[in-house]
Amino acid sequence: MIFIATCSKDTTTDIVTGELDASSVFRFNIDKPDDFSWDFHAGGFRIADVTTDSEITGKTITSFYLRKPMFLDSVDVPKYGCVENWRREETSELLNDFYRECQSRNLVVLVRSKNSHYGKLRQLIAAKKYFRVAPWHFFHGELPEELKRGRWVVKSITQTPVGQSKIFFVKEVDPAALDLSYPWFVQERIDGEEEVTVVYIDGKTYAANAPRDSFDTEDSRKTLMEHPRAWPRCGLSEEEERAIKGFMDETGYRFGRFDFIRKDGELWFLELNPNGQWAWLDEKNEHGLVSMVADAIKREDAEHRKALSRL
Amino acid sequence: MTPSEVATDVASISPVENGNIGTGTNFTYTFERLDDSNTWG
Repeated sequence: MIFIATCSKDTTTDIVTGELDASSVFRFNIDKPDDFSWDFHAGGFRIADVTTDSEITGKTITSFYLRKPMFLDSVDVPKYGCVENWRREETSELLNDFYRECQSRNLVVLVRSKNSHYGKLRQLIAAKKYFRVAPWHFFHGELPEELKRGRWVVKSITQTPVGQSKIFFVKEVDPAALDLSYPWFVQERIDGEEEVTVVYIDGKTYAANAPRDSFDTEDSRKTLMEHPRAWPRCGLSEEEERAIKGFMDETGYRFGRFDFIRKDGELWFLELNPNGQWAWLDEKNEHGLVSMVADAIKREDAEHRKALSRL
Repeated sequence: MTPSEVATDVASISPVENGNIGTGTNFTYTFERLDDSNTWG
């Protein structure tokens, strides 16, 4: 049985489980604790969904698929904490440790890394072997000399809200105007023709693009939120396919969603989201993206079942 | 400029509660497009 760790608002899980055998999936929504009971102990574990009377145990689990076990309704945490935040932290840590245990037992499908995690800094360092990469700086305290000329955009590496309903989108800034008492991540603005996003699924790719002049800001996500639409599927050259595979092999990821800008025909690397959202690119599975992901999950799960049966 | 001055107010784009993207009619849609967090991946 495939254990999916996620939350109740995750429609990507709704979509992909539609392509899987329902009897082979156990969905755990971390934000619905009243729907579940659990017991992890020296002899194994049992998690039960009290709303469907189904369960998964140490004897029936074959795979762990990490989706989005997140609490999307945030709580105001006072200086000395609160019980709700404590409950969430305790549950998250247990589930996270369970994920790590499943990874060590080779039960994790798709969203995993064979090597250590690659954050944005390591990605940018690794990417220069495979793609064009615009100059970048993580800086604090002193303005780097290079930032005194040219056009730059500011980004955030954590998606942490800054309060007052504000979050970071990519935005063009004058670095000299930034308050140097804060840590900043800026990258030279790439004046390209289009944004290209590529979902990599265990050796296969699904690419889609959107012309940059269709966005009214530097951050395509803001435009997508205001004017939702799918991006049309596009092709990649053999050289680009090789570069993407090379980057994934080096970093050890088997799944992820790349963001690029295409400029003068070349791909400029922005980032890899190792657990990025993907179903919005093909919500109705008209181009087969949902099937590609579901098939990879089924293939890996079948390998796990075979390995487990030999134990 | 401070981070607050650089960041964008998303209240007009999507319902917001306590500073995070919150629940609302467009909530799931917004979550699917905005969230690229790694969680633990």
